[in-house]
Amino acid sequence: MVGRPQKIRKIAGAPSVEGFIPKGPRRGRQLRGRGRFRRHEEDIFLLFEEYESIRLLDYEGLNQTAASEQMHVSRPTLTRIYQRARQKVAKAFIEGRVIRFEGGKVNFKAEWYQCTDCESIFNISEKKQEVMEEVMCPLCSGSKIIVYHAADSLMDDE
Amino acid sequence: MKVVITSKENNINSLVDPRFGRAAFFAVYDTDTDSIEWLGNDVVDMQHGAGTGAVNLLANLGAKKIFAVAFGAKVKPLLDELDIQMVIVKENQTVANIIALLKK
Ligand SMILES: [Zn+2]
Repeated sequence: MVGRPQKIRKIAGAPSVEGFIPKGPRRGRQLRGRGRFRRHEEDIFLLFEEYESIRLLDYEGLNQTAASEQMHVSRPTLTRIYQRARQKVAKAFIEGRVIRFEGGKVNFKAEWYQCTDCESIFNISEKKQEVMEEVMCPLCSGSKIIVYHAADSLMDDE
Repeated sequence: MKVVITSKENNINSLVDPRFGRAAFFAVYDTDTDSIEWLGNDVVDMQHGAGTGAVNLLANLGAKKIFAVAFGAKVKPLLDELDIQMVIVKENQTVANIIALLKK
């Protein structure tokens, strides 16, 4: 996926679970699996940044200015992220859909970045992110770093 | 700081070995002293087994970063645990090239 380089949005903590499953069978649809958390096209994917906006605004009770500062985004951007987050949660709630925190298993433990200079892709552990001021390329020391979303595809089973 | 680069041969003009767990050699490069120690994966295999065994050996040597073209899904949690950074580099470049970038 090629897109505009995305600014790194700071997320304080990954969600503690992979997502949420609605209780009971949905009308008009067969219950799939046995309560398995299996991927389905109707699932709602909540991005980490959307999760974080709910955490900061509704759970921590910050105002939008403070939350946007914590996430290192502009206020209008935060407002957009938060609106999307609420729409998704509402849709899941009303339509009885699974909510899945997006990022894949790998990203729950470490986030991946790419250096736009040497193109290397690297992870930064949560421990390190807490003490780091800015992300620097571990290979060429470059500072033009973007978030890399498809890191799961890089992991092969040896 | 010690970093590890996977390598097809035990010289710096060698290409980076694509697979971390099955790399022929590991170049253990010390950024402070600008010196390299070469480890053959046969030694690693005998002592520890591929993949996760290599991780333990490299961790014992004090490696903080590993440069490879790909990592196995199994070694990922182990590297996280040991606080060793994974750096996925482009294929078809030499160990010397990586070291030159590190010196920048
Ligand atoms: Zn770089």
